[in-house]
Amino acid sequence: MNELHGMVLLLLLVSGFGIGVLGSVLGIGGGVFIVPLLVLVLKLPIQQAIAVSLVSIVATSSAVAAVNVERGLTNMRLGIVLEVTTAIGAIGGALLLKALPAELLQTLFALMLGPVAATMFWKGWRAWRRRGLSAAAADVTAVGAVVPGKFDAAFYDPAVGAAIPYTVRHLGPAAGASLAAGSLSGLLGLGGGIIQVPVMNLLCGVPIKAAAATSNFLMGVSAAASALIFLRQGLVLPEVAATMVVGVLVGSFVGVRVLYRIRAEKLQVLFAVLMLVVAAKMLLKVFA
Amino acid sequence: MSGRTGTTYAEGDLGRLIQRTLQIGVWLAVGGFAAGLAARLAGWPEAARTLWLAGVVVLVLTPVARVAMLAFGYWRAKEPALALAALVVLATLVLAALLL
Repeated sequence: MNELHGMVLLLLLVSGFGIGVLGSVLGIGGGVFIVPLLVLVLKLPIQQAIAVSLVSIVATSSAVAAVNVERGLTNMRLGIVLEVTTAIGAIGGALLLKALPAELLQTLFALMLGPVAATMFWKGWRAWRRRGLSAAAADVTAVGAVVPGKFDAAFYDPAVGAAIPYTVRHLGPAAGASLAAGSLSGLLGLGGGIIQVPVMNLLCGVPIKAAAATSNFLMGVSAAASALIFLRQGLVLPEVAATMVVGVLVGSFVGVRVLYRIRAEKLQVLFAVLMLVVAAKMLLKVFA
Repeated sequence: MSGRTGTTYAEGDLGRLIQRTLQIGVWLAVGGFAAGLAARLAGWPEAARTLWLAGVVVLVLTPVARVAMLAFGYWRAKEPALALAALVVLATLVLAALLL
């Protein structure tokens, strides 16, 4: 692909915008949408599509994290610890890309997403129905008069008009899950947010908004680790990547404002629906 | 509002450092893309491709620079464990860039 024509250019910009909005609100990179778009519509080889997807994920992460760090939504301490296993997983995933059967991986991943999505949906839906409940109580299970730990944090949530303090639990298992999330980045061109957000929210007790923001923060590293390998292999198409990134950046700036104002329980339900869609899409792709 | 309860000056300072690092990286990349577009419109496709690629490289290196700043910031804030974690991540990224 040497030339980008008008319609393709517009498609890349518009889809990049949509992916940027979705990615910044939900804490995902949007690779699950970018890769099929590039493969099915632009007819790019899968590895080049993954490479462009990774560059787009880096763009979302960098643009969104710059805003979320300023607002205190990102838990940088938690992020840097999870980044250790995420980055190692990302490199492992990129190297294993050719060695592992993609269908098996996608099937296992899709089957795993189902129960996680159901748990998150139930939690968010229950809180949504209890209108009087504050987002803090709905979203965080371990808040209270505890001595702040090294990874505990707080952020101001304009949707409820209050500061939301939280305690981070189960860091060890979360680090293990980050290894898997990082591997997905290199293997499937995903940001890993589809794993990181539920792990931080359901396992670590991090409120969904902070989980999405921290996921955005650390997915840039896993995507960059894999993207560097793809760059060295000459698999990144600069014209496609640049066009998509411009759309993604504009969308990210819009989405990060939505994230700040949306109610946490709605975000949980939305994320659960996204997980189910991703799981269904992967299973369809494998078995169709 | 900072991200942690009991915020210290060093943490707020680190947040600003990270924010600026990310913003500079993103804007430099956008500058590369814009220059590439200008070159393409001027009828220099090879220069355009080089500039777009340069923008992509800058963008991909932005999280690497952010991790380096985190290592520096946590070291200055006398948080050796977190600085070490950042250095491990940085080493992993450098390994990916140079050796794999």
